[in-house]
Amino acid sequence: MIFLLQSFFRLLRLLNSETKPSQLAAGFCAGMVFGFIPFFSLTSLSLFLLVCLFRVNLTAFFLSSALFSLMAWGLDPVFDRLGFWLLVELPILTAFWADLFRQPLLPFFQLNNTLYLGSLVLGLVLSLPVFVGLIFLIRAYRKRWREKIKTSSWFKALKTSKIYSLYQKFRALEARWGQISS
Amino acid sequence: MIRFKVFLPVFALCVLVFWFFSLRFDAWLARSIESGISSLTQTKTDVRRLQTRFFPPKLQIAGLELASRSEPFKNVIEFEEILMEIELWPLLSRRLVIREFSIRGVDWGTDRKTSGRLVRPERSPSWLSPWVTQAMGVLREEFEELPVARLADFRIPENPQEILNLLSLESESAFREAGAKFEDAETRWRGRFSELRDLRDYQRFTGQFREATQDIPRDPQGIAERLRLVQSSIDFFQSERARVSGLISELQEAADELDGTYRAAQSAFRTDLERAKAQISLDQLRVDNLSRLIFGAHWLDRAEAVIQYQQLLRRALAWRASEQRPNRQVRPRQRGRVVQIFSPKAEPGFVWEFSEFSVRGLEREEGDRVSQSYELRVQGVNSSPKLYGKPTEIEVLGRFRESFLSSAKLELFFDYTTESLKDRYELSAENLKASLIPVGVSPVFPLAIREGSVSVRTGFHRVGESLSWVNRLEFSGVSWDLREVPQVGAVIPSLSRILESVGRFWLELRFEILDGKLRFLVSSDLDELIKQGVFRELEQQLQAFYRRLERNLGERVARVRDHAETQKKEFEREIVQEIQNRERLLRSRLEEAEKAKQRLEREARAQADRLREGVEDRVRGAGEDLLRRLPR
Repeated sequence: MIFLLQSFFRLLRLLNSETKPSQLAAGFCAGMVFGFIPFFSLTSLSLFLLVCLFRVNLTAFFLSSALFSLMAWGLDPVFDRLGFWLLVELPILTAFWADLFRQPLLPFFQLNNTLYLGSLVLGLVLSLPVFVGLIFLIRAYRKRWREKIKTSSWFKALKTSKIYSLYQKFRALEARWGQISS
Repeated sequence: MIRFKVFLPVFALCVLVFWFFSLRFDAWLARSIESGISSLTQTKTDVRRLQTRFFPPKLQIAGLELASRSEPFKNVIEFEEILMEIELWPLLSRRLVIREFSIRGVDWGTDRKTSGRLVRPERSPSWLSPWVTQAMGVLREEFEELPVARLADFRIPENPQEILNLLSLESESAFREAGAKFEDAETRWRGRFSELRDLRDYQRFTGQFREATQDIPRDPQGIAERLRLVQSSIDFFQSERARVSGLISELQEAADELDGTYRAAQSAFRTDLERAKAQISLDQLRVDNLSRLIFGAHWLDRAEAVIQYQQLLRRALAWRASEQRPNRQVRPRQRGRVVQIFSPKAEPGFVWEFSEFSVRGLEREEGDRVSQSYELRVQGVNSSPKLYGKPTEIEVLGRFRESFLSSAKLELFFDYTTESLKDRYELSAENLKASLIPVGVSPVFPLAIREGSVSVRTGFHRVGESLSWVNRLEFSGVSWDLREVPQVGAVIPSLSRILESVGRFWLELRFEILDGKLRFLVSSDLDELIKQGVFRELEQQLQAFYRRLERNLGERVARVRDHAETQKKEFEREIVQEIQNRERLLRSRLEEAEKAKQRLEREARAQADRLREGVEDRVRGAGEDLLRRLPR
């Protein structure tokens, strides 16, 4: 429960912070692709290194990767079907795949596996609309809904609840631990 | 835009990777090879030293030891040094191309310092081919149906009644039935005799025609009267004879039927005898193909392993693709499916193009004495024959000194490059210790070979789905170990005696697929030797037993058979002979009557002649008188 609250408030803080919407959206999209593709693969390792290298929001990345990893369990048949369609049922691409898998290093990415390819392609295809949509939504939130939520009765009730006080204590402990370790 | 703070951890990661590959990779690879081979062979594997080099890629393994499964402190094989050079560029495309491979120094049965025993749960391999398992199961069921127990159980009983009591004898009832039929027939035919006239009538008519021929009268009326009497007797005998003839033909049919019943009873006796003989017969032993029994079952396990491995090899390498290229092959994985794309430019992931080298094994105790030498020639080993496009050939030749065999040659050839898959494996071994060949039927006939040698020729050929696997073993100087063989029954001791005298023989074990079914044929010149020997030893005893059996069976049915025979004779005597006598009597009486008639007729003609002559004389005399009286 505390983890859910933590995630929820962390997301609110992110949205309320001065972080650029594009960085947030990029982190979220990268996390989505990372969550979709199988964890132990060269593709996921490469993606993680890219995320570390570029200025994308890591909190958004981790939050979305956790969320989409859960979703990926249920979406496995979709990935498999999509990968199979691309690899087998789309003859126009056969020569492309044959060439691709002969290139150095690329065979290690296991893109001839329907699940790996399907999840990567679906993640990449969804990234663009999600990226644009998120930028639009974050801007709209900051402009119109941020104050409304802060002053809403349900948000005030949540802040006065016992769970929230427990969360506050947990955050204080977390902050002290951060000070000690630093 | 770039997060420069990340460079530090990435750099650290690179250092870590470099450290791993330069310092820990060899140890990790050595452990991986050990555990990989161990899981495959189910024995402990040790690598003494392993060294890798990346530019150019090279792998050197020193002291690779494979522990024996049966003797924990012995190695099955020990390689002094294995050297492998790999091409770098294909590695980046996930392909392993071995440029050079060689082995230096091989030893068998060397001592180990630590135990090589591995305790692992037995698991049924997941790669087993269901077809092979099923086909072998059918062959094993065939072996279970072989009359093994009869070899020990077969004996010739002292008392034939043991066998006769087991049977329901048909000859007894058949003879009883025959006797009753003869009895009934006799009674019935006695009744039929009442249809004939009494013998007194015969005498009366006989007297009648006999009297007619005595004191024959001189007048025509008298002779005519006598002729009438004789004719009436003839008529009587003729009508009686016709009746008797009718009875005789009827009796003939009845007698034939009765004879048939009697013959059926005799035939039932012979059938009973044959049935009784069949209870104790050498045919039921089925000793025609005893080599199948004493050698065959032991070959099934190893045959199953060989065919399973061959099937596995085919499954792993012979990816089917149509002529149209590029083509795809989809194989399911634990997660998702892997799509292998064949294209004209595609190449297999693993290639061992060519290797030819020889290696010598040295006798440890005696310095540099060569105890064994091997020659290996490898050509075209690869992971995807369709992409590689050339068949694979492997030849291994081993020569051994003071070992369990003197030389062995293995030639493997498999061509999976086309739709018609071809496998050809040839193995020959000379002077192999014959004691290593498993033999015997436990617990009935648990024999073994103590000494001797055998030369083995094996040819395993598969083209498409057809299979022909012929193993020919030539044994010589064989002495048998028969200590465990139980001396029970009549056959086992006989077999033991025969085998003791056999030191040289051949054995052929053949597996083939006919009509989609795997068949296993075993033949040997032992079969004929065993058959002749067993028959020679047991035949005399059997013949004596058969004679006793026939006598016993004869005694058992004697009462009913004698009764039937008596009835038969009585019927023949009382009925058949009686009617035949009657027929003979009638015939003779008829002949006699005919003669009497003829005699009377002759007499009548003579009297008529005399009368005519008298009349003529009187007429002539009267004429002459009249002429004399006439006036001149």
